[in-house]
Amino acid sequence: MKRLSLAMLPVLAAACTDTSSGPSSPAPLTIEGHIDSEGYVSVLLTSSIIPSDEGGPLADAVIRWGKVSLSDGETTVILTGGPDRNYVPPYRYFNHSMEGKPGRTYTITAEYEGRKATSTCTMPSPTPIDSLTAGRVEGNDTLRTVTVHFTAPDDCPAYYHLSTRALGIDPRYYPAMLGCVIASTPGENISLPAYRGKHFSATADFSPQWPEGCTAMVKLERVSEEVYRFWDAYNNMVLFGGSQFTETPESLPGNVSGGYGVWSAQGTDVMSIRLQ
Amino acid sequence: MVITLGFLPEPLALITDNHILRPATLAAGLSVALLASAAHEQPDTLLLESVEVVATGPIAPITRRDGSILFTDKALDHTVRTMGEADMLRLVSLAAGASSASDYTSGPTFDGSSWGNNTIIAGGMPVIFPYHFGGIYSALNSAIYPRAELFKSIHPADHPDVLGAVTSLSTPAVTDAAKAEINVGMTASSAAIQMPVSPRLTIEAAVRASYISLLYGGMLGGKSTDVDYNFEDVDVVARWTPDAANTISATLHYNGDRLDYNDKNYGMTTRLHWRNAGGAVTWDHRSSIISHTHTAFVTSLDNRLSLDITDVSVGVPASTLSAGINGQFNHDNADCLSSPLQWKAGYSVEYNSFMPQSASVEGLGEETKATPRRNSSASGRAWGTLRWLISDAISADLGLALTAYGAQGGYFTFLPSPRMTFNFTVPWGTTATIHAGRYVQCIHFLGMSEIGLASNFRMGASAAVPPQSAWNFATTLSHTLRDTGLSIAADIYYKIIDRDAEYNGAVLDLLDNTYRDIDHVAVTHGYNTGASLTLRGFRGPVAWWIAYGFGTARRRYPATKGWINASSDMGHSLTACASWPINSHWTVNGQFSLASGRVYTPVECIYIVGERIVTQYGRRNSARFPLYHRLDMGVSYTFRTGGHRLPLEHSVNLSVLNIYAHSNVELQSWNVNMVTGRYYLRQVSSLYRAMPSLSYTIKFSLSECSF
Repeated sequence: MKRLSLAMLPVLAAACTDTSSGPSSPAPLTIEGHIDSEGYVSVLLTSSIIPSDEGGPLADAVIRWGKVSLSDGETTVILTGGPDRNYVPPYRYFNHSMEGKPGRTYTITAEYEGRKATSTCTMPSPTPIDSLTAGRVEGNDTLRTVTVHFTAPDDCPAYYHLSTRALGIDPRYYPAMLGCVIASTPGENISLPAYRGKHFSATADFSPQWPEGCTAMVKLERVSEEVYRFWDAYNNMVLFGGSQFTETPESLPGNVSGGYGVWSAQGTDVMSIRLQ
Repeated sequence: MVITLGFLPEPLALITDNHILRPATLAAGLSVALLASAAHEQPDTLLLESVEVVATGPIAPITRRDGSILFTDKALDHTVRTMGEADMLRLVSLAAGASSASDYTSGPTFDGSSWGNNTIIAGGMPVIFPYHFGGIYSALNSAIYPRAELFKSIHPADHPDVLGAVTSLSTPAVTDAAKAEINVGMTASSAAIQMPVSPRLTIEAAVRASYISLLYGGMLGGKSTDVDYNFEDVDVVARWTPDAANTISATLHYNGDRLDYNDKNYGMTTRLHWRNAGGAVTWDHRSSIISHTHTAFVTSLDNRLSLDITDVSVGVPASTLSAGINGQFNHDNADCLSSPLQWKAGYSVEYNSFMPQSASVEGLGEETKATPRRNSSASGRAWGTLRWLISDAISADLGLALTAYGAQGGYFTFLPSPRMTFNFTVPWGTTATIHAGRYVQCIHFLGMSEIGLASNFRMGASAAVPPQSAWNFATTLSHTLRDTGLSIAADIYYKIIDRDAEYNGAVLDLLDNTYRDIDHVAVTHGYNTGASLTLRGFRGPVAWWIAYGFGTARRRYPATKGWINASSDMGHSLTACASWPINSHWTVNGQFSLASGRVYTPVECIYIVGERIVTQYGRRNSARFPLYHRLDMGVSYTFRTGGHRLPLEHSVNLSVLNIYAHSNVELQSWNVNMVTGRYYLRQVSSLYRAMPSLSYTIKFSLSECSF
């Protein structure tokens, strides 16, 4: 947390003073957002950056005065934006008046300085987590493994993505490392390792395993195929994108029209386990 | 006994090869090297059984009548050493039409074809990946293979069918005296010996081992990278001549490489280990009617790419095994040689077995181990070439190869490859060649790397990924200005490429239990075109040559509109080499390379998702890295000791790669500085920046002894 705060200090400062009337170049908008079943919408709206060889501040990506709306086909709500240090960039759009319901189609629309991005996604029914099990890491007494168990639904194929959070350590849920799986056979018992996500402030000694004594929270997200493909490619980029031996110049397959990123309406179930 | 000549005039060099001499091609006043049977030799008479012309030198590569380029040990001796090693394949990479714009690529590409379209033959044995890392030098010891022939866009029918270049490495025809050579360098040391065990049996062997990390470890790494790399290689050649008409030779090769690359920026260690092993046996029979040669070979490549990210380890192994037999028949009857029609015919049968790349994962809870299935293919090929001597100045080679290919799963196809070559010799010492031919390639060489690393894998053609093919149209021109000694060689080529295969899968795809490699291969179509020019000459004792090439390679991908630059698109390439023997002791040589930067896919913009910088790419291969250039210099001091009893030739060589330390960009990416909150462009430049190396070589030849 401390490292995250220090790293984000320049970005926070820029966001607060809002020297950005936004990026001057017409770079597309980026949406990273989701609405959970029985949950509420949360969106990070940023501007992509056309990079210059000299580099530049990441703060150029922050958008404070964007107009973000969410529609379920019947009702449209406007999201409220505000600083949130738990995210990078530390500015988030949210609304607590429209609760996510499986089967509904949610359309997110973002507008800012003449740029517009939109995405539509239908929320599948959530799949309940049967159980979480913990295990020891061979050769290490301070780390634990967590495995999530669930049963594939009748309407296969079903696509899943995991988000995880170490309570007291992580301020929020993060995309889990290697947290994508496809359920192909109805009724199939599926076990998937639940790892911590490697995020911005991760240090060189980051481990995807869980610290002993913490509470591991696992959110099983049933997502659309498009969203699954995005996170699967994202996982590959995070894990192997730094290798000159395997990197291939492929863009991520997002589902945002007029912009980049991913918008997910997801059926979710959450379970936690205390790791002894 | 062999009588070896010094440098011979250009026309002879253009038409000579190392097989049976054709008397009709002898120039007037030419001296010959004679191979005599020791059993019948008397002090003042020699029984002429076969004739071989050996042209030793010159220093520059020789462009021959058929457009191929010959590289000799003399050229190798006068080229800048790379980290203390004189390497024949590295010399070949300096030819016009070869790409030289990267220090990370393993081996060059020629005339726009990709790395997987080339083949290297050593003593009749194909060597699948004959490079040490980064192509710093090859895994084939040049003390054993001091001669190379490069066939770029024009291949004789007897050559393996590939879309790119064929490089054939060979050993000297005869070794009549024991020779030994020890080379001690800053990256590796080697020992080579050539020993006539009996009048009919000669054995040559070389072994080399490296200690790169010990001395260069700090230099190879960077601010955030560590490199640990070592290798060893062994070459053995044996030649037995039971009688004057028959020669049986055996070739063996092994090399093992181990590279560990740690990038602290990404918290990832990459390990790349590979191993070539193989051998060949060749029987060469010479007769007054039909001469024939047959070779049986087996060759293999095992490689493994491992990626360690914190506690997670992903291993990606792959392997290839190839075995085959090929042969050639030449109608060498004396009556035939004076006939306007001459013929050659041959065959090849090959079996290939592939273990496709697969992934095993450790450290992520339950260990997952892939269970790939080995797949195989086989091919049979028959070919024939008819040479028509239309006149003293014009000849035509009309050839046809028929390939039958079958792969596991019931795939079968029949592939004809017609070829036609016209050769012209005009007054003033000019020769020209016009060629048109179809080429097919049934083995694909694919991988996640775009720069031809050992982590790539081979795959047999199938219904899903059919054999590649190309129509090659090429013309070469060669001229020597006799009064000045200046030689000019030029060539132009155009290739129509069909079904060039490219891998587009990602590492995580390997973890999918439904993964099949053929599901991640894109089949493309396109063309390669370009031209090259080579000048070589002498100014006093200084020998020099300049090779310039321009090439473009375009492809159409299934899901993309318009033309895309191929990864092997060369742009411009210029190489200038010079060697100056100051006196009998000192020699200075230099080598300057200038080339268009390698193509890459530019970044359109960057954005943030999941708290990470994500790159949105623009049109594939539509940008180029900055201009590549570097100057390598070398100086050697040679002296002799031992008198007549034990004559030893000593050479001390100092060379510096990229003497002015230009940063040639190899890779770039966008990163974030966590302290300042700024994004920045991270460029990784070549390992070679003012990189010195010192080597010491001792040579011994028994023929120089007197007792």
